[in-house]
Amino acid sequence: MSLLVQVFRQPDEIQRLQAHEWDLLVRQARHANLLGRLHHRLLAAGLAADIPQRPANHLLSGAVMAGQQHHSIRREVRFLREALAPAGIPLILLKGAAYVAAGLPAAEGRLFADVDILVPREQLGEAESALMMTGWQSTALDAYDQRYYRRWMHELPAMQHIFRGTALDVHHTILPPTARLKPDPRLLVEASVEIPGLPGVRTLALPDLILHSATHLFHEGEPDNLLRDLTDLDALLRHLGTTPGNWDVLTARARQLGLEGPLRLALRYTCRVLGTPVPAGLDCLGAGGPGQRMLDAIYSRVLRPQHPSTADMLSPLARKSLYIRAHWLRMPPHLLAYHLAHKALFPPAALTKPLSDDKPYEEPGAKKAA
Amino acid sequence: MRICDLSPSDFRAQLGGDGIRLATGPFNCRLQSGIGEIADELARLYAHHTLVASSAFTDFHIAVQPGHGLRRWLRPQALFSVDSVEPFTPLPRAQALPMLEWGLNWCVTAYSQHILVLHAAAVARGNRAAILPAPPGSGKSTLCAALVNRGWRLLSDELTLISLETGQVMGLARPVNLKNASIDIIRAYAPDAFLTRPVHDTTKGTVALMAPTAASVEAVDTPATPTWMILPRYRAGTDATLTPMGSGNAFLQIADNAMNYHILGDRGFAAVGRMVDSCQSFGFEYSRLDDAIAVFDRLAAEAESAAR
Amino acid sequence: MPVQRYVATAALLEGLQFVLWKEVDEGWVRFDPSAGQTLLLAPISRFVLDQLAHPGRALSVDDLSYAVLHEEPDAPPDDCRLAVSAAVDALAAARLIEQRRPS
Repeated sequence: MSLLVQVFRQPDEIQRLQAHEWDLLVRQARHANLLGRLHHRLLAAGLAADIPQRPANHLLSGAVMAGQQHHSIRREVRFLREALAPAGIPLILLKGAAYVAAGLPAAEGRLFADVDILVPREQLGEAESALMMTGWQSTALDAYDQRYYRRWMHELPAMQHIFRGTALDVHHTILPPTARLKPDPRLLVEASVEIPGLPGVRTLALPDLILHSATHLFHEGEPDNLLRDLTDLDALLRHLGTTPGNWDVLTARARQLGLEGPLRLALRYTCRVLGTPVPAGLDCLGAGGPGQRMLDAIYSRVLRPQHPSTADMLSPLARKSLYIRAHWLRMPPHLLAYHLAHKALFPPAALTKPLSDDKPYEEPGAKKAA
Repeated sequence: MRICDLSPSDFRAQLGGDGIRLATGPFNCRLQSGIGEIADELARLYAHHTLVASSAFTDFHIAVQPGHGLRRWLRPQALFSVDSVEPFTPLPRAQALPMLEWGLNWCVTAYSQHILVLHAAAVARGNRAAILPAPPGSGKSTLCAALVNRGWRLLSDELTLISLETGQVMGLARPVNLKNASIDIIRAYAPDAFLTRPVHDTTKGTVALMAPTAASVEAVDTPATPTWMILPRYRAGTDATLTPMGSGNAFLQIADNAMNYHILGDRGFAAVGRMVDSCQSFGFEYSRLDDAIAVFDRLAAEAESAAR
Repeated sequence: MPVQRYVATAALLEGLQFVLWKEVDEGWVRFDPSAGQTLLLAPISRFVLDQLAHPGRALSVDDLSYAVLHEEPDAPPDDCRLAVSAAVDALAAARLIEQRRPS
């Protein structure tokens, strides 16, 4: 079992770690985009004093990155509300943006690259126009891409804001229309809840957020993200469990949406790998059959080390890391009109310089897009 | 034990094998390279740095390796990676050594959001630090190199690290990056300093690395208190002149030159505010290095006598 | 001709609880983490902002000038009005305040 998974399951394992094992843990966590989440996990378990200085710095660094990004997500959400409200289109957040805006525990320590929203299918065209008028641009360049997305996928082609550079995915269902399972998006929209303190901003109801996460567990392209997505689900489920009766609500909803299969599989998975507390009857002991085979295959994928964790030569293969992408792409705009505010009363000789988010420091060679 | 205590052949063997593990200020680095020709200059640049045990926690696992496949031989390349992540596109093999430095800077910038990182040089007299934020082309590195060879200790040439807890500067004492005309200027100014052979045609022009002084490296773990914030600007023919800067302006200058001010949020705001409170802030124009050094020396002397 | 009144923007009001201030030589540095903005404000700009940073409050340049004069009775009224106008323009450009839209 990889060290990272072990520590997530059993945080007090860290008490027995030697320096080189901490080294490995930090690197595995960074590759899995879980540095910040690990930081919070260990702190929540009361283990802050058991983390040596150097790894503590790395964990804190990851958590700080995530924390800052939450501000920029909240800011994006406000901009989105401004864009969609005049057109009468509800703003319904999905996934990471939902967790952050609603202040769910699943948001803690986690970097999210994009904002995902759900829009009723019949309002998709209007939504796209409203967004384009406020500076969002489709990233699908040619007509083929455009057609591909609209016809086959469950979302518009990914959008990017021309000034802020932030990424937006607009969905009209939670699974592609071509998928076997067809949860009714109207039910999702109807059940959406407004975030207290954020008028005009809604998220899917908690059971629906969980089902969304569960159905996408095995749709991710990169195996490295599997563990990260599992920890998302684990955090959501633990939060669900704090309210009595919620598990029944979840299973009933899964039945209503036709998503019992994915839910059962996902529960088996988080329970077995991360030890998520799951009520009896929904537990993680699967009996044979094709589901079991898939589970075992996936199980071994997650349990293999996240990256070449050997003491010797580093792997020559370059790996793109979500962490790097999140770091470089999500710098929020600095001040806008500082120099104007400054001019209000100052003598002309004063030296002023507008803050900008152009970094003065440039790396040689182009940064790789990720 | 220090790098200079290793024989050249041991150094070379470790560099090409399990890696050289050394401390650069607060960071333990493991350096590996299959590009043998950088070994001798690398060993000289880091001669006084302390070696770190392989059982210790390593902050950055760094490698600069030859290009893959055909590019190992045809227009040979160097690839930088940190723990199998490649943040840069490959560069010509001849640029391997500067690439290592740029890569190390990248690591500090990318992975250290627990401290305030400024794009600035920092030097110290005793435990008082002068911080020199400056955009590229301001002559900061030349000035920094000159100061370091006239009794100021090098904290950093490129990235100044400020502890969020204490507000102190944590030194790196890594090589100074010199470009184009500065190379000859500093060779003349400090004939005893070690400079690598110039590397041509980089995106920053011709580049050479200058080794930090032994004294700088030996004192690297002694933090320094930010005392002066000086924004240097080279202007041909001008006298060395300090112009006092208001603390609000100084705040914005520092924040604008910080790599992670906006990432740190409240803590960044507090750290920059604290720095502004503890520093005298100036704009600085100069042309002749000796005049510039004299101004810095005078500031140090004034602070010293005020303290008594 | 109706008098132009200014109000706080939604962005200003929603982020208000997180804002931090630091007094400096030239006035104040204002840090707004939710807007991702750091501003250097002259004292008069801060004063104007403080007057407007209340939900539902709408004030004209005249209203604001009277408020300033109330604090600084010796200030020349014309200079005061000019300074307030400049402050209002600057704050509007920073999207902290805006003209009240006619209902």
